[in-house]
Amino acid sequence: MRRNALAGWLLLAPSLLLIGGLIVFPILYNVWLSLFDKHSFMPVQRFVALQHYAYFARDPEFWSSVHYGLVYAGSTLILQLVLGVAAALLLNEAFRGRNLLRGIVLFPYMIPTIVAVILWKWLLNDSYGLVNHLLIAGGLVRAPLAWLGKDYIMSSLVLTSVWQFFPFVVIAYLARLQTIPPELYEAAKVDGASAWQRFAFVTLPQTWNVLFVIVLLRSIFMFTKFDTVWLMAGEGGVSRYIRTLPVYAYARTFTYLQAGMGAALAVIMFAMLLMITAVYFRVLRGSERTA
Amino acid sequence: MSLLDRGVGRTAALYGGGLVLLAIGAFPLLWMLSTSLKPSGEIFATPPTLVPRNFTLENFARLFAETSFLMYFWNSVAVSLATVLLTLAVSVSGAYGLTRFIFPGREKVADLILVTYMFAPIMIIIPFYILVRQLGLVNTRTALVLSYTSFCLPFCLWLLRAFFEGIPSSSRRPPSSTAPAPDAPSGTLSSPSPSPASSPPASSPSSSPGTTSCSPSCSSRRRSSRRSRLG
Repeated sequence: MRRNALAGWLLLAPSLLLIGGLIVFPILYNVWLSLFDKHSFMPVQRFVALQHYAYFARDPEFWSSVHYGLVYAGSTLILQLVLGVAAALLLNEAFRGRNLLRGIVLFPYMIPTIVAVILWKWLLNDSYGLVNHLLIAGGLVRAPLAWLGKDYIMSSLVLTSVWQFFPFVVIAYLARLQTIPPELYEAAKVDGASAWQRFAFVTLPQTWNVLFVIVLLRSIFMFTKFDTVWLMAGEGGVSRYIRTLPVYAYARTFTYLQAGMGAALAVIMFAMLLMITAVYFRVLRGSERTA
Repeated sequence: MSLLDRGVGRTAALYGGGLVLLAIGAFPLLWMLSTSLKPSGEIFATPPTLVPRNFTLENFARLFAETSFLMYFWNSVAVSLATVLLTLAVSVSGAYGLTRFIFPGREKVADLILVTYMFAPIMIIIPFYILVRQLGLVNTRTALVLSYTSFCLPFCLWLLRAFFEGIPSSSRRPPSSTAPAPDAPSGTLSSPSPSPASSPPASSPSSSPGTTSCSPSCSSRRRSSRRSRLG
């Protein structure tokens, strides 16, 4: 470790320049923009102070998008964790074909979002989709379900997202599992711990740190997820049944052409995430110390 | 290593679970492949066929003949290559500066990187567009590279910083250190980044998340300092 401020800053300079220009400047501009009534493309703007924020506090569409956003982020997060951790535990055991399977499991995460969404929309298609065909053939349902209709669109979206993103949990968790010293398991076995006890008292405490990071990153990513959600329904009629906050912000800016309002929504979303993250850090860091 | 007890039950559980996982990961993609090899009539047939009855490459031929597929493909290749090169060059030096030098304000920089992630990327797009227009870069691949970089850079910086922290400074030379960290359990960690996430963090943002978890574990003695830095 060297105390050389100049070299440190010089090495950081390109990063700071790019982050400053490409992220910090746009964010600050966005905050400034949220105080104006601005048309998205015409040079028309009027200072309205905090009126947009006051408007959203009473806007039912805003509250429904908060609701859908939380449902989406919450359910995808839990399912990704369960599926991802289970898959990682499996892939950490020694068996034939393990390395091949480790590669295959990453596929869903590596394909582009648009491909994942088209693929699942095709599988879930109500007339020609394989999912409905299998459900009917298996006698589980009598008539095809409208997976992309208003009743099931959220389930379909969650299904697609979990499929697409659970490999993230698998890689992150598996990398940590591999570094747990085998002696710990052997010692637990000698003490007569069952498989479940070994998981609860060896694996879980050892992986607490990485779970903390995974939950943090995945919550942020799912809460701000735009592409999967938007591609699933676009601007179509059912889109309002999965309209999460990022999609609502997009609609305000590019459909209603109210750039100021869209910017205000982005700021609200940012503030919500910041608060949730702060609480998360406070609560979990406290409990971790005692663990 | 092994969580389950040896025996028939273990084998059954492993291969059963493995098959389920295989189906989840590969089947939708297999279905996509199968659909792409069917003539349009068979695509809509009921019952659907997994192995195409009338195997055809017509869909692929049309893709190359009737669309600008190759141009789009080249766009993707050029843009991603340029993004990887730019992000890698910038984030490696940045993360190195953050981990190997002590200077006032470096903790702040690390926090800033995390905070930028809480801003929905979709909303950076409008100000970004205005910026790009002022630079005269509208409708160029350069603009696309810059926007991709803005999404990848914070992530790569964060990962690489954690990654560098996992490598003790003493083993810094030669640059591509393959020596295990001294406090790593022997035999379980052969290189600074354990497989399957053995690719260097910045090679592509999508293949790298594994390393996030690498370093919180690689060196437990740095754990406390890192955690305080996160907040």
